[in-house]
Amino acid sequence: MKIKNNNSRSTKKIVAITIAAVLVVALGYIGFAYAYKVTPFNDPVQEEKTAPIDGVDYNTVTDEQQQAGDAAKEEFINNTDDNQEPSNNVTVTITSYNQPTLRVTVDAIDESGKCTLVLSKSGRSDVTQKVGTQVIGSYSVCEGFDIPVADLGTGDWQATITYEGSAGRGQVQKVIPVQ
Amino acid sequence: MIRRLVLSSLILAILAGAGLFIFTTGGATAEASDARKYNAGKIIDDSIFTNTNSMSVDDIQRFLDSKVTCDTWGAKTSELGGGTRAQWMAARGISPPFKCINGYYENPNNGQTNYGSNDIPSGAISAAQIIYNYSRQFGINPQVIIVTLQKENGLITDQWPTPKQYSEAMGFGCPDNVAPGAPACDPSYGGFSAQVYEAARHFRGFFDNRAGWFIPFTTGVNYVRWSPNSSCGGSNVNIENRATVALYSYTPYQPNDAAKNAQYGTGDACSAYGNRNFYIYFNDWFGSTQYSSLVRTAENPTVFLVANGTKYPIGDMNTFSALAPMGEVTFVPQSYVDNLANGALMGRVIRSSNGTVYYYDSGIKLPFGSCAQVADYGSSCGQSVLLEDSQLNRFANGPSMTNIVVTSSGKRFYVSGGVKREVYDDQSITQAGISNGVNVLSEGSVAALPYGNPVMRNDVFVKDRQTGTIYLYTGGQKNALHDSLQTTYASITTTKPLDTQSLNLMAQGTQIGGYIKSNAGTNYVLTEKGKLAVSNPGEWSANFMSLSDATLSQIPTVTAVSAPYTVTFSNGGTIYLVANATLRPITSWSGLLSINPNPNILTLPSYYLNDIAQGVVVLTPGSLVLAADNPTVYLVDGLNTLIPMNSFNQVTELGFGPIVNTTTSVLNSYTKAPSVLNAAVQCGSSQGLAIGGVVYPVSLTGASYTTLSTMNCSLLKWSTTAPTFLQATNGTIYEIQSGQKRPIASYGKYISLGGNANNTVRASNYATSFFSDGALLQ
Repeated sequence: MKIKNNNSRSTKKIVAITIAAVLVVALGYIGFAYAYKVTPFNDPVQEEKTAPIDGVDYNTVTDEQQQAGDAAKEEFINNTDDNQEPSNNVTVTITSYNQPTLRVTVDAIDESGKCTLVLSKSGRSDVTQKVGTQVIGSYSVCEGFDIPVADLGTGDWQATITYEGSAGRGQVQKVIPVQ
Repeated sequence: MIRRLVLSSLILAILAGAGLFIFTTGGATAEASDARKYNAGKIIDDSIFTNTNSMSVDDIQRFLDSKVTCDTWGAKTSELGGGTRAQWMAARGISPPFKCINGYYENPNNGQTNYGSNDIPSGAISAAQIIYNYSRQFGINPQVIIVTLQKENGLITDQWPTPKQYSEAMGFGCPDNVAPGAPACDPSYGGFSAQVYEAARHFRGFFDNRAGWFIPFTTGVNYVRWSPNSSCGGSNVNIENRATVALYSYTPYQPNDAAKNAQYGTGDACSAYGNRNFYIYFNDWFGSTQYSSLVRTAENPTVFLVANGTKYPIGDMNTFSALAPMGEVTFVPQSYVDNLANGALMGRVIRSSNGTVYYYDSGIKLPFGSCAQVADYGSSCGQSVLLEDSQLNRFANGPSMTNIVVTSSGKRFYVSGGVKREVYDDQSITQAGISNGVNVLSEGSVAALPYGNPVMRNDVFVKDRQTGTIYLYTGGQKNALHDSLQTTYASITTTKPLDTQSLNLMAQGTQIGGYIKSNAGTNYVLTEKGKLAVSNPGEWSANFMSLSDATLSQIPTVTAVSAPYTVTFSNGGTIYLVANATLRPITSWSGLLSINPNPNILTLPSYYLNDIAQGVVVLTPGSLVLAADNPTVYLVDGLNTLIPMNSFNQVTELGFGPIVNTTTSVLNSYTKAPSVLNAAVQCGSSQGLAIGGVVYPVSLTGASYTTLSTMNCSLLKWSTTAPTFLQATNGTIYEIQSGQKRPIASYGKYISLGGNANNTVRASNYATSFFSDGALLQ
């Protein structure tokens, strides 16, 4: 007949559980320390932030802001190194249509381009308008189309705008309602 | 036990670790600006966009200094590769010292700069000064320029910028897609000064919608692309203000979700970052791009509504509350407030860009029907505050404005001629010929308007809403009801309330007491239950005030009672007799019954207790009274007369009594009859002799009759027939004939004469003495 030493087993179990608990606590602290940047994860130099003065933040730039600025610089450097792929296709975009005004951008700088608007509808003769281009900062615009509402009558019309100029050629189409 | 402790520690540790992490995650982004909050339709408020007072030159310089530590000699490793920054620059022919923006100088007239040199060229000014100058010249917030410099090529934070970054600093004239053979940027705009100048000029032109400029965007629905890559597409954006028009016109792309979710980072192939970076840098460096429409500074508690670049001070809490749809109050820099044009005190009349004029209240806007109606509300179409469309849209569309407003507490006002006239009731409106269209608005909706004469009809009772005082409005005047009648009128009439201010504007009439009469001459006194018609008003007062039938009809009528009037008061138990305009206390119930066997006691307001003179107590009619210092005993005859007595024989026969004590002053207040009391009495036209408590109608020769009051007469017991036989106290029986008494000699004779118990009256010697002696009947 064997006599089991229950006390010894029990002690081992307690020790094991205690060790496990200590490990969990330690891991918890590590997570906390990492998130809060406290020892051992604290930043070497912690500058104290000052409150904005009359709404302006005079603190040093943050890493995020610095990196975003650097990215903008890099994009700028790349874009202005004249290394872009050449293309004859100019993007033309209808930005707004507030009857009777149709506004159009041209992704190019061209002071002397031509924009042609053709309004089409089944059973009706096409209506055409031609205007020049105007440079606005980093792109150009067609110099304004005024839809001749009185002549068109109500209904949907297919608007086709074509740019032709020194930057190449581009076209856009859109159905516009005339009311 | 140990096991339990270990287990608990384990759970706590896990929970603690998890909890801390969650807390940390939540707290990390609490103060940072959030690109996901980018509002495509309103990137920045107009008033912020154009706030030129936001920074001085020194402020700008200090700001630039704070944001960059310049690597003047390029000693650090190049982020663009190619060794050190100096080496990268050298490979492109650029020599140090490299000038960061806080140390950059340029002559705007000839473009000479201090880049690559330790000397500042003649006429050159700092970048801060250039930013400031063009900000002022074109009325654009210098912060807008600073942020644009940063978002175009990172110039604000760049520790080693290239000369080209300055010459193309604002990206002006630099298309995003360069056609073959075309320059990357238009050289005619080269130079930092030229770039800032052109950008500021264009911002202003876009903002002002300058004539001759074919600005591609406008307020309203626009199509804005995600990226210069047209295949990425775009979306419709409802642009709310001119500043946003200006920003899209300058950089015609909006950030897609990937760009916004990346915060300062990189999105996807279709992401554009210009306007996102503008938004996020501005928020981080200069605060919100979108102040609430309601602003104040930390130093000054005045709250302003800001609209279209103008600040309108808000002068009262009602107006402030009505502007709740504008959102919370934002604390703003003083410079922002200073830069706004000064508007008039904020009223309740606003205007849309299309010219519609509205009243606003309780979150709704109500269009006025005409400028005349606006004038009715104390304003004018010209004085209406022009709101931005986005601000106006925060108010729900309400019904058309009316001239009658009912407030949430139920007050009703007719607004006309710049005043508010409180309305008494529907009939008043009808009588005044006013249209009855009504809007229900907040209590404060018309608080700022002064009171005008209320819309009232005559002959109504009106109560002061604040004090509770009731008035009768009649003849175009308010007539105060006597204080001690207020409660009574309140309980028996219908009153409607008006504000004290309305009542103060009414002409003051005379005070109304408790005595009123109709034009037809019916007199009334006011009881606690209504008006009582009195046939003998002189018993009450000499002054009855005439009221219109319309007024009287509003006071209920109580059932008429006849005099004498016995009354009591709600604040006391004493019963009084009203007689000869005096109040005489009645001291006993028997006394009351002697006055009126079927008493109808009126309950009166306390008004009368104070108004009617107090008289002496009422001695009970029929009682005998005696004062301590006067040996004479009197019979109380009616309400005002005392009849002296020389013996008790008379009252014994009459049945009056008992004797009560009173005071000499009370005795003195009564009229004394000239003759002593007799058992032979006259009541009206009836004469009789009292025998043993019954008055017999007999005619006595030479007797003196005592005339009694009606009240005393009513106390007497009258026989309808005269006695046929009298039986004296000595046993003698008499036959009474024509005032004579003839003794009957025998019982047989008595029987033969028809005598019996029913027609024979026992009489005292005193009573029998009234009859003269006749011959013996044998």
